[in-house]
Amino acid sequence: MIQCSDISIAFQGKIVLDRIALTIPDGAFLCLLGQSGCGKSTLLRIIAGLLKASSGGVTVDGKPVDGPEKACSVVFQDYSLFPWMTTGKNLMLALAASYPQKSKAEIRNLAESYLEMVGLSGVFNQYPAALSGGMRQRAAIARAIAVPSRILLMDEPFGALDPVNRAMLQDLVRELHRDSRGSRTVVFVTHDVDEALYLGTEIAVLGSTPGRVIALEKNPVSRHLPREKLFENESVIALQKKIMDIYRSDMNEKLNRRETFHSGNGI
Amino acid sequence: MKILLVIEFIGLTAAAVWKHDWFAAAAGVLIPAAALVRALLVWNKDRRTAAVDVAAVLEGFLLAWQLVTSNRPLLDPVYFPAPDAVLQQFFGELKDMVHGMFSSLYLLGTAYLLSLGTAIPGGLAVGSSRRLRNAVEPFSKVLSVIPPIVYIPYAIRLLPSFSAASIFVIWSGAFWPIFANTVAGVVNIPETMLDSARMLHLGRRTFIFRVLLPGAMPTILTGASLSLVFSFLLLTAAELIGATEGLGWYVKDRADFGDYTRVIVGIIFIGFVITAISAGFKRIEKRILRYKETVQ
Repeated sequence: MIQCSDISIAFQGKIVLDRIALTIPDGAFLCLLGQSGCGKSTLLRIIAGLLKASSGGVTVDGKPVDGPEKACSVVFQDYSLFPWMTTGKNLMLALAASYPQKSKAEIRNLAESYLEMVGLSGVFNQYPAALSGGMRQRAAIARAIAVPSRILLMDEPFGALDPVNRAMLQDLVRELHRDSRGSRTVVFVTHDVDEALYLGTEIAVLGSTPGRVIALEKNPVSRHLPREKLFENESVIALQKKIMDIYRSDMNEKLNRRETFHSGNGI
Repeated sequence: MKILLVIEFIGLTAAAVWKHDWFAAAAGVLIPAAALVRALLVWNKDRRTAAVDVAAVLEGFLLAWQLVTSNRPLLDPVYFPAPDAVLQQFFGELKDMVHGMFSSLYLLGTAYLLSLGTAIPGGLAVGSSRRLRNAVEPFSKVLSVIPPIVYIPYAIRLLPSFSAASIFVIWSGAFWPIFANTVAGVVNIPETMLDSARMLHLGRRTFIFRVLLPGAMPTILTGASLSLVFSFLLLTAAELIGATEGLGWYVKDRADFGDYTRVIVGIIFIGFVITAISAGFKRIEKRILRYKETVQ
């Protein structure tokens, strides 16, 4: 269980996150939904232990997070893989750090099997630059699930992909989470409402400036509902509308605030 | 350019027949022949044109050189020897020059490796700690702009041998570009990449050798190639001042005796050596950075 209690953080006097309280149960797939600049990536980094909150903190299974958290692995939008290593070596590096007692051959086999799991056999010796964006993200996911961490943190991982690749990778992540049968928790940052509805068992909507949780919703439908059925389901449509309304009013509020700021400045 | 090549070919052959100038004859035949062979070997049209053009420029230069220096020369033959004399000396002096080259390369290699060995670890350490960076920056800013040539007389006086002095001088010049670029290389590694490395919980050694060093490598190589050019400059400068062997010394020594043919021979030889080393460096650089290629 991940527990965020009253997390606040400010950068150069500007409050980015304002008293975020969030409990993420084991096995959940939580989508952190919010517009750009609302601090959702910042929150993810705080959970990962890459960033220290100004006040408040995170605990994983009751233990406070202090420094890069061992229970977490991450997938970013770019630069998750090291470009100077082949895809296979990227996985082997992570595996060797997690399993120091395993032999090189064992590590190699493990890396190969995880690449195969995400549909990437045959790219072991290729450098990331030679792969497509979608393949790179597949490899990054393979590396993140290959290490024995139970929590997978994803920061807009499919933001730079074309729609077809994005849909395929969403299916992959959804499948991986379903197959883990509750042993893996995912926190997934996105600004795409439909992506959140398709992937999340829970959706936390972050309001912007300062970032705070303005809605926390449970996905009303089962994980097994296929994509084409999802947006025909009435409860999903209702939730979609509800989130869009929250989204829109938050955006309007932000725009109004900016306008007054500008006119004040102009005079 | 092809027409130019033909005209030059005729010019050189005419000069050869008229003046019994066998160098001109050889050059006039061999260079177009080489260009032709090269043109036939490469199918790429641009490169074929380039081969012919290079041959034309070379021929033109040789023709002009030949015309102003041989027979009734326009220029003083003491300072401006004819190309055939230079060519003859070039082969005659090759053994001595190769000997000098090894002496120079020993100094260059030692000093260059020394600067790589000090500047890269130093740069990695300074690049990865903001506190260290702030502490070191004022000093590196001042020290790095001092032209290392000014150390030469002092170093020669202070250090026990000329080798030690020139190694010190080359090191002090080659150090800064590598150091500054290593620091910049580390600082410019994308934060996401470092975060991603932190989450892998790598050991310290692994982090340095598998993440920090390769992450900074493209920038380090830029600094290293700059330093290589610096090293040549400083090496020859040091040799001009205090050496008893080596390539720079060879040129200076022949000049002291007024043997300008051999001076030119020495300069041409230095040109070949540096070009070869630079080409070798480029190959190594390309090999290290091959991961950037999008097609493998």
